[in-house]
Amino acid sequence: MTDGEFYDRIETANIGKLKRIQLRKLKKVVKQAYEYSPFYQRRFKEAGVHPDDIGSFDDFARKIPIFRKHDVRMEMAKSGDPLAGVVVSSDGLLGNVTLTSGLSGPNTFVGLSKRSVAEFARRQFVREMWMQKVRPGMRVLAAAAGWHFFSLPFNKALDMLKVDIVSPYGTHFPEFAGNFLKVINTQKPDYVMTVPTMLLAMRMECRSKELEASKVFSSVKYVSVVGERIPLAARRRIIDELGIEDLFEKGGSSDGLWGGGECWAHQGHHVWMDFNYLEVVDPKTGEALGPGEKGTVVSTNLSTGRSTFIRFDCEDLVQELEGECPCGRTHTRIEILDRLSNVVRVEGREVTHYQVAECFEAFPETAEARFSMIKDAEDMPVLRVKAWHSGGPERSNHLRYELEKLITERLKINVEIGWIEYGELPAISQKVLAVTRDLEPDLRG
Amino acid sequence: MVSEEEADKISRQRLIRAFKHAYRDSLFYSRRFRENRIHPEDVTSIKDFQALVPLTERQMFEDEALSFKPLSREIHRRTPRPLFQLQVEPQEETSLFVSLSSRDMRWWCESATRSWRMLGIGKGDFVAICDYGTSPVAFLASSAFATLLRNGVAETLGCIPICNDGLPRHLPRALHIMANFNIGAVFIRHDLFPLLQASLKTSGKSLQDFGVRKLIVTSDERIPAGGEIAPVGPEGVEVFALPRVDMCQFMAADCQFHNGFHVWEDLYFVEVVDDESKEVIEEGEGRLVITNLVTRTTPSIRYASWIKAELEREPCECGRSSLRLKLVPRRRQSQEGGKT
Repeated sequence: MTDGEFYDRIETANIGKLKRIQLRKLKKVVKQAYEYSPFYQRRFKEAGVHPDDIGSFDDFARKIPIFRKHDVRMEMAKSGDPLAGVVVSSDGLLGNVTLTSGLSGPNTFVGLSKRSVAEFARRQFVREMWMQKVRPGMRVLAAAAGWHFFSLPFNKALDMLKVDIVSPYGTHFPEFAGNFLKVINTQKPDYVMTVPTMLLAMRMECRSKELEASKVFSSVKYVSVVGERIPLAARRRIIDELGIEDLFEKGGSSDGLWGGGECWAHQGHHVWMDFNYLEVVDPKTGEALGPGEKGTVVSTNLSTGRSTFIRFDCEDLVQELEGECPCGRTHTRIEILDRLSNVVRVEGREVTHYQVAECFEAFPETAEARFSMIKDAEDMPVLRVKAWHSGGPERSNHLRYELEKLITERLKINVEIGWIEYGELPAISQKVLAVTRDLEPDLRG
Repeated sequence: MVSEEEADKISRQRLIRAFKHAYRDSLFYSRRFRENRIHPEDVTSIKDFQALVPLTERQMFEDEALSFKPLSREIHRRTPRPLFQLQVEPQEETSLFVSLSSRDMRWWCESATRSWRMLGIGKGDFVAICDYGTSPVAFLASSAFATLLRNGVAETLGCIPICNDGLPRHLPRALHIMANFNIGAVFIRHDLFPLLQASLKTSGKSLQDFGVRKLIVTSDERIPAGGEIAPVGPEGVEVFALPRVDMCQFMAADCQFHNGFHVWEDLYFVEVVDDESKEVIEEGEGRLVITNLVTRTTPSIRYASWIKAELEREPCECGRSSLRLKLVPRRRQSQEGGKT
């Protein structure tokens, strides 16, 4: 349903109106960036573009240059500004600095003002949470870590939604799964907000302690996760296992400061067009791709007063979905597939983690796609995979045979699967594991 | 600026109010007061108040109504909403939670703000925080780090907090923060302090190299290292300590003279009692018993904390007249048993 106290009518506005809002804000952001950010001013000048030259989306795509994480790091090193000069603000007043996840190398930083955190909360997070059935008066288990951008508007949105917070000691890493589980079991939250690795760790803790997960989660109606994709087949299993009504995903990137969430239809992440302008481009050519085509997401933030990203290629592999969402929301829907860096080369073919994951998802015991691809050379004769499955040891050989066969058939590569125990899985899902010293700098997890 | 006499009067009024509130609104406390044969109407002096036997963590754990139970009417009968319910004593078999309203958060934050200010943290300073997001050191720092907080410490003081998580494996990230920002002060959980020193040794750097001027070691379970070691740390950085008792939303910081931890007496009423007799000790060391004068949703009345200390009433060299805690060194405290 698209209604209720925190439903914003703009969520179902017609696409023409949304595009007009986007273009108006886009022009304003470009102007402000030129005025207040030496970084953007220099880049625009180098590209021979002035804000007055931007009159349409086409002008924007053709004239404004794309930049990437590498450029941010270069700018940090060159200018000595840890915020890489991307803060677009008339007064320069920042209240918080957060870190990016650091999955692709040293963390970069994001500067935020108090007002911008509130704006993120109001325009993105409250809409998402309301869409994902968070309601005033609910008891929500949340342990937001202040180091990550996501946590700040997340807290503010929970505040606006007037929920009670249950805050367990610790952080969303598997070593705290036992404690989080006890808190859920005893404090009886209605809603649990966590990350996929922690959710899996809690389920494994239930198994190891011979607890029935559905009993532990008996009070919990909904779970939402952020940070990683949970395949649909695995999601259905988790919902059954926990006895919850629904499991929602949120996603996005603290690099380009864009994000979205799923509605009940689970058909992609709704990304609010009045707050972000997203393009999907071919990562090699930078050419725009249409709905249904897989490419990387280029984010442009439609507000300022903080770190502001204008045509920033987040290097997230995504796909814009076609058609209308059954929920009635009209904003862009994005399916987040993978990080572009999660790719290896096998016999000259580029293989993404996502492609292999699709094979894993074909079997119930590996539906959660918990595996890492080993990278020990730039081009490898065979893909080696370390994976975990939830079936017993008696299933290991047969499952290995079936999976290897499927991967070879679909991706036309040789593959070797080595099973690992649950406890051997990395604390944060590392999709590509570099095993040679000279490759490590590019692949720090 | 209020006079000492006036401040004392405010504290007494708040003490009686806190006591009455706990009696009226907390089933747990009203039961406890009745067991101790104390009625709020009879409490007219500090001595009357001290007839209440201090409450220990163990007693709270053993109380069926409190230990690891869902939010219970036992602790607060008239609960304001919404709440921030914080796990403060995570243990294997049991645990304690405090429930905080927006008002309670504001007062806890007031205590933190005064502590930061005394530590010399001010406008424009970058402050790194190495602890979990669920630690009050982190979540009181900014209104964006917790719900129900209208203004965090940083917003009041005009400084900029940068959080790192509290896991040891995230310490390299703390060094990365220090390398990129001109960090004036670093708050660090006590168990991470030696690991930070090891990380620095490995990297061949000192905190001074990063421009860090102050290191504040904080803990809710033992005397933070800063209370014991020389104020100028091995890295040439001034080391402070911030002992906390999260169950009472209590914290006390040392000033630049490092001569005991200042207690905000308009927020907390503190006493030192003998562990055996439970009698109040006027001079000498004993168990620190805390009454939070301002929190309402989860009252803390005569809570026997993990801290062993002596009270120092002489004015500090810094000019503050507030009471100070002289903490019993860790080695002796651990021999005698740390937490109650």
